[in-house]
Amino acid sequence: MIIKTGAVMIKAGIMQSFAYRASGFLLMLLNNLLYLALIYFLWKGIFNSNNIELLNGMTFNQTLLYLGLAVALQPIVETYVIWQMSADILTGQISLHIVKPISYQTYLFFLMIGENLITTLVVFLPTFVIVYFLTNSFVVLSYNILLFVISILISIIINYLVGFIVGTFCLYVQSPAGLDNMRMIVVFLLSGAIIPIAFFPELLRSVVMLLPFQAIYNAPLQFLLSSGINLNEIIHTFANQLFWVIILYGLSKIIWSISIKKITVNGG
Amino acid sequence: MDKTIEINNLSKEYKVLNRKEGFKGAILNLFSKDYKYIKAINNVSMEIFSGEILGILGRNGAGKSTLIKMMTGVLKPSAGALSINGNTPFKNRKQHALNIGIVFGQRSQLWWSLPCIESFKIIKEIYSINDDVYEENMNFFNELIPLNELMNKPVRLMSLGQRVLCDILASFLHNPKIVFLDEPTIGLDIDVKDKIHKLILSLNSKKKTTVILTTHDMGDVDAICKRIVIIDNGEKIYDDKIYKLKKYFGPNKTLLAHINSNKIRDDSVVITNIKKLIDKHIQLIDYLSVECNNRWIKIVVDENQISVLKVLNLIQKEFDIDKIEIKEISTESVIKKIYEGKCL
Ligand SMILES: Nc1ncnc2c1ncn2[C@@H]1O[C@H](COP(=O)(O)OP(=O)(O)O)[C@@H](O)[C@H]1O
Ligand SMILES: [Mg+2]
Repeated sequence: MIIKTGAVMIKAGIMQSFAYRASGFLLMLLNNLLYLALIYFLWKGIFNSNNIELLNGMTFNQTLLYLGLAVALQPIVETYVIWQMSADILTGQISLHIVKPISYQTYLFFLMIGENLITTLVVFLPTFVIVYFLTNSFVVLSYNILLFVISILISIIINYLVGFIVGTFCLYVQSPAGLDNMRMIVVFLLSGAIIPIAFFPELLRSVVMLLPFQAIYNAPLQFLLSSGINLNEIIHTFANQLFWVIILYGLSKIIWSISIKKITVNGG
Repeated sequence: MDKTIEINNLSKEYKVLNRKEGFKGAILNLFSKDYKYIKAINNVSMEIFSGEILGILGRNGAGKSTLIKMMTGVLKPSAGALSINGNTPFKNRKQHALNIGIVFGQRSQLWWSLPCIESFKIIKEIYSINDDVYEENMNFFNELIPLNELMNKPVRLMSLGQRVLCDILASFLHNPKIVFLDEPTIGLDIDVKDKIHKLILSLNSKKKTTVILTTHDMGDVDAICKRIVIIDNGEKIYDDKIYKLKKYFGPNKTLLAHINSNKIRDDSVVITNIKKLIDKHIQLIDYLSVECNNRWIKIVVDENQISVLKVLNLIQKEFDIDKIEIKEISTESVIKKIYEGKCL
């Protein structure tokens, strides 16, 4: 049942995102390409001026690949969940959602994921192709692509859950822009989307590896970057991602059910 | 008749911050514990029977939406008991949700940018409506309103009336036992209101759905309800058959018509003319009250004797009318009379 509900809603979400944001896709792609050019010259400069082959154990190609792919994956983090929640709360539309036989969290997830899937596809694929050629076909294309795709789907879920938890605070703070910026900065910095986690100082790195954000970017990227990844690492990465799905899911349920009382008891 | 809803001494208080003004106030507000309580519903009891159309009438701010929100499970009551089909709405929210349909007049459950049919498909899945039921309902809806054009139209391109009609249909799609309509006719003109009344009546009679409708418009309850509850300042001040209330008012409607001609200077001449006209064409038991002010004719029509439209037709032959308005008994005047003890 829930699968069919999901399918119908994801389709509607995709139709809706085309109706609203067709031009947005193009801008996003353009942004990505500009950003890609920026990191290309920035890191080329860093490697050349220091005349080094390896930086923190990564070559220029590896660094470029990592960051280029992270850019390609940015549409995943582009989620409108916080904005949607804030609009529902401010307009009172939320009261229609909490009397549905489907939970608000699940409903929003299906609503958002259609859009996420389509942006990931429309923006990720072209960026990926460019990165692939920029780094002289450095990526190994084999069964790891499949692992990468599965891992990406889990990333989308984790990112959504983070968004939902942050969005819940719209019930207390009427500033979706502030909340979303904060979330973006934290996710970007601590997930390895801007600076490879390998470049972090030892202490910071071990802390970051204990947080959920690395499971959004770093985890799927490992499947494209490491050549010859072994079974142990595969299991470890997926276990880590699933662990965060479960924890964040539970956490979001608890925080939501406490916070929703602000509406159901105090009337918003 | 079976009771489907039992409400006992229900109350709802909102807790709101006493806000201070200005920049300093904004900062103080963050830490303030200075609350006041607004009693939106005060000790209300009633029973609602299976299959009836109950009208809840009240002015703006009377507490109608608050009452509906408690019945639908959005709000938790502050005190009192509320049982719907044996469920406590607030506690068994999901179970309750399957049994009820909801339309809040000012908002829509339809997806804004998509053709209406997409929302119906989503509702079908969310409520696990099986194909046969869905098919049957859509065919039935189609008999009531031609759906072809409507279903393929993106909701954002619909007129308010079309949107409300679709929202009402959507709320009946899963064959709920009870449908709540919170001010569905707000902001609509007379002929759309009329369509909505007819739709609600047909859905109710075919599906035997209990319908609970709130409005601040006497015309709505007059058109579709047998029983009304009047809420004022959070309290129930009337709960009985509508005809008992109407006894005190007579089935009167007020016709206002504006004469489009500068030639007519003397209002009293108009009055005499109209009275003659009515005398000549209609045999009436009582005279209708006729007034005229600045070329606005005002006639109170007893609809038991003659319809407003016939009267309008008559005066239109004699005068060049450019604006008309038909007024129902106003909610304010009803409430005033109840307080004066004239209706009990
Ligand atoms: N969320 C809320 N917080 C505080 N006061 C509210 C809230 N909602 C409604 N009220 C107040 O409660 C009273 C009843 O409101 P409502 O139920 O919306 O009336 P109606 O639907 O009859 O217009 C009004 O005085 C209104 O200002
Ligand atoms: Mg209201």
